[in-house]
Amino acid sequence: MHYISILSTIVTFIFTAAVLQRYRRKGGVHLLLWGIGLIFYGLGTLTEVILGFTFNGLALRLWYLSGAMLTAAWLGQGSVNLLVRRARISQSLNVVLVLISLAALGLVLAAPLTSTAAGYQVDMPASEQYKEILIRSDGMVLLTVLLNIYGTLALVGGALYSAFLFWRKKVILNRVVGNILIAAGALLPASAGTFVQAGLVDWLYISEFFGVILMYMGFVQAIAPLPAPAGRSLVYNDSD
Amino acid sequence: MTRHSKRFSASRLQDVLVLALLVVLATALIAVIVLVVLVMIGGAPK
Repeated sequence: MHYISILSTIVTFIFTAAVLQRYRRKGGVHLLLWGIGLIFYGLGTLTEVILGFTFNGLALRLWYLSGAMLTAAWLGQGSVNLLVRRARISQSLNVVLVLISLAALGLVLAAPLTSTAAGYQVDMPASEQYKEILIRSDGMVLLTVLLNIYGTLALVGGALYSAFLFWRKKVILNRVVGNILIAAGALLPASAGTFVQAGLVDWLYISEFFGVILMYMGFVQAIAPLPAPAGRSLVYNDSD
Repeated sequence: MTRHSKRFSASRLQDVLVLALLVVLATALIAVIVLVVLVMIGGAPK
């Protein structure tokens, strides 16, 4: 499964660059937050690649922190900033997420590794072995679940809500399509934890790959300029 | 320069299909959330 994680990492960082470049040109906190979320996504897949070649305690901790705890929450926070019109609410939630993320970092760094780490097998998925190696406190597990529920609801729910609004108003068809692709893509890795728990450990890597591909396609589709009718110039106020 | 209309039209069938797709995805979202909670409390099948 190494090669899938390598492909996922490459696609994710290309996607990240596109989002951050758009943020640099147009601004918008939601783009910055999505960019940070995608950096976590890429760190998760990159550490998977490392763990596919050798065991490293820091890589395992980074893998868990970025992939299991922070990615969904930061991506979802981007959607919250896009959809919640009251700046005070979204800014407060941003501060809360930063504080919780720092707490998550502390918990992960403090989590002890067991002696099982010595028997880590690089040809087996990290998702199949990490529970015996990384001792997670109840608080850490609870935080992981809450961050994922919040992030998934915000990202997928936000994309579906946007798609529904655009469709109902019958405006900007490419944003309907883009948001549906983003929702479908985000659902794939969001379901990975459950499938891993059910024994389908490879699903994590497959879902990460197809998930980021679909989200990238959705992003490209959503920001695509409207086609100008023949013989006319186009003025399209793209406010995101 | 002419502002291009962002509007589009859709048939009744397209309306039904898109809304059905949105409902399916929303159901999948709820299912994922429920499964995450079940995993948390140890109720998911292994």
